[in-house]
Amino acid sequence: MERLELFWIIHLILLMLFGFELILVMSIWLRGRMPGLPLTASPWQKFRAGLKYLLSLIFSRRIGPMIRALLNDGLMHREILKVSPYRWFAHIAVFGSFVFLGLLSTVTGVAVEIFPNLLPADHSLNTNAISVMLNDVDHPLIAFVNDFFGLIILLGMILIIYRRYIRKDQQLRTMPADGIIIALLTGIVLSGFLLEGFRLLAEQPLEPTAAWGFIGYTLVRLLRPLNAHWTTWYNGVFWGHFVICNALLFYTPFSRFAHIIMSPLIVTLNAAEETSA
Amino acid sequence: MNSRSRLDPKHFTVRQLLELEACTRCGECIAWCPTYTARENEAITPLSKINSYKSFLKGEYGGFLARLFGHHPPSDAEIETFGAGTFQCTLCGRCHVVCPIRINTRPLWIAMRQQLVDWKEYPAAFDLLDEAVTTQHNISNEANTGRLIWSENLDEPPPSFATKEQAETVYFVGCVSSFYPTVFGIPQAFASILRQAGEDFTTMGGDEWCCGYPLIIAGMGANVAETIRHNVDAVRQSGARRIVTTCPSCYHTWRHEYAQVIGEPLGFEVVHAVDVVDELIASKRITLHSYNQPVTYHDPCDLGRNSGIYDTPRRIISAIPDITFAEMKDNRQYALCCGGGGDAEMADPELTGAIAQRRLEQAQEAGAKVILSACQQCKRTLAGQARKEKMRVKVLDIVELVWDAMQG
Repeated sequence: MERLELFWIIHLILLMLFGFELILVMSIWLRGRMPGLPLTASPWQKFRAGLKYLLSLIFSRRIGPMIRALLNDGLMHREILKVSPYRWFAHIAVFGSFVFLGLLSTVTGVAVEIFPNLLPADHSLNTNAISVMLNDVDHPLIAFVNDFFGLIILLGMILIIYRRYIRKDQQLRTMPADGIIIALLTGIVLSGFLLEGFRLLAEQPLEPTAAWGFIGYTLVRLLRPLNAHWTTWYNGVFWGHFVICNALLFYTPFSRFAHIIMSPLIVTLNAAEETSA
Repeated sequence: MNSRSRLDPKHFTVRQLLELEACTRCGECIAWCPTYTARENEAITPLSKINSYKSFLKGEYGGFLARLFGHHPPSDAEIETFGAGTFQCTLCGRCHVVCPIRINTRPLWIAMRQQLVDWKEYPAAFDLLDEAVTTQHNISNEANTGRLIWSENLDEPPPSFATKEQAETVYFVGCVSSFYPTVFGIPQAFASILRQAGEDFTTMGGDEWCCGYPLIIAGMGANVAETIRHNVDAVRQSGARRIVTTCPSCYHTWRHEYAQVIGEPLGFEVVHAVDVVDELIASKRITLHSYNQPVTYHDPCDLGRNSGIYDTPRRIISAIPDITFAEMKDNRQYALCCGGGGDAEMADPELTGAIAQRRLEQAQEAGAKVILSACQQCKRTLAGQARKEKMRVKVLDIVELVWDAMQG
């Protein structure tokens, strides 16, 4: 079986398992009370009431303040910037870059894996300049953007590690769980760089545009003299990167990292309710 | 597994459980927490309480996966630590103000206390409080017929339901002002202001029952439904247009809790004394004379942060001729708690003193000779600490200041 086929099979199974995990976590939250419903209301009734409430906010005049709050506080973290530009930069470097790269890979996934399998090869969604660019992993812009934002994440992680473990800011309370999250995030970035480097080494000769992926290209120049069996290394790091990404995915709902979803949600809801108050 | 009952997530709304997840553990709340600053007990910190509860909840209901990720149902020792931290909180709400996510923390702490009450892990004094409020209808466990004892020094005692059943305004005096002689000056001053302004008012006398606030914040809110219904019915029978309190906690409870408990609108307005005094000044129904002392104003948590009233007391102060007013370092929504809130005094009286001390020092740094507040509990706590430490600062309620200024 081809590596990518195996990847998709395992990936889909893991996504299903992750879906079950999310249902489990949501079932815990839905054990709470829902204002307006009796205490005996079922989780499904509470879920529907919550969804209805959310939709009533979205389709109301409060949507403006909600979007503003989502952008300013949920995504741009204005309150953290007011308190500490250092903390803001470290946080936005990691969070913003992950969000950006996550969106880029989602769009790439659609352009590379979905459109070609669903639509004729000459369909405009497969032949337009953006789809062509996304299908080319060595496209200068894609190569540069991936490495650049990866580097920004790494810089953010270094600042976070420095603040938490070396400078030890007085307000921080570091637990083993923090170390796990930091290790997983850093591991994703580092293994991502290695993955790119090994891919380039395994796909010799290099495309002329490979240098745009400046970190992967630097790794190629450093590692090439070792003359190893790069395809094996590439496969190993591929699965290593996959495991780390999934470990973070599965850990998130049971860890403090759940805040990456819940904080923007709560900030947005608070803004809606403060507007109506 | 211990013998305690299972954790009951129904003390929280679904939204509140999501708020717990939204905590980033940034620690911004720690530096602003008056109890942590005074005690340095990690279990007090908002992020510790949130983290503990989340872990208990997931450990209790998350099965194998939760255990895999390090969560487990709480042990007796963990509940004890969690309880000590939760009951030392003054419920001041500064953590909400400084939280980058604006997590509505105060209701979370009360819900956690409800859980601790289920587990019978609360200060022993709370049982006495519960008994006093539900049987004697006041926090002092004294005969409730003595509610107007504070008025005995007045030239003319204020009306009560016994002498005047109907009035435009009902003055709800509150337990502390009714039974603690150190703050009798507050109801005396306010009743005198109302009388001099010609306000049509009455008091409830022995028909006034504790508003229920001390039990609600103790996590025993389920025990005050009868009390709340009694108070609402009594005020409705008087035909009053509004009820006024000098106590911010009574005010907060009447305004924010009562309608929810009885399941319908009250049918009358709930205001604080500062609203009434402000109205009397604006309509020139009272005249204020010069006051020559440097003063500062301490925002009571339940009037400021928890009810959003900041400008009205400052407007009253600025209406007094010749007064010198200076803000303390921490003011308005950032105001430091006096230490007397959240029933924390019952759990740890020394802690209350330590927090009050910090506030008194801030007042002195502001150059004030008089600290004003709009809360009998703040006055009692700050004045008690000032007396204990022999600090040369006077603590007055804003209605006492106004009454002084009215007399010239």
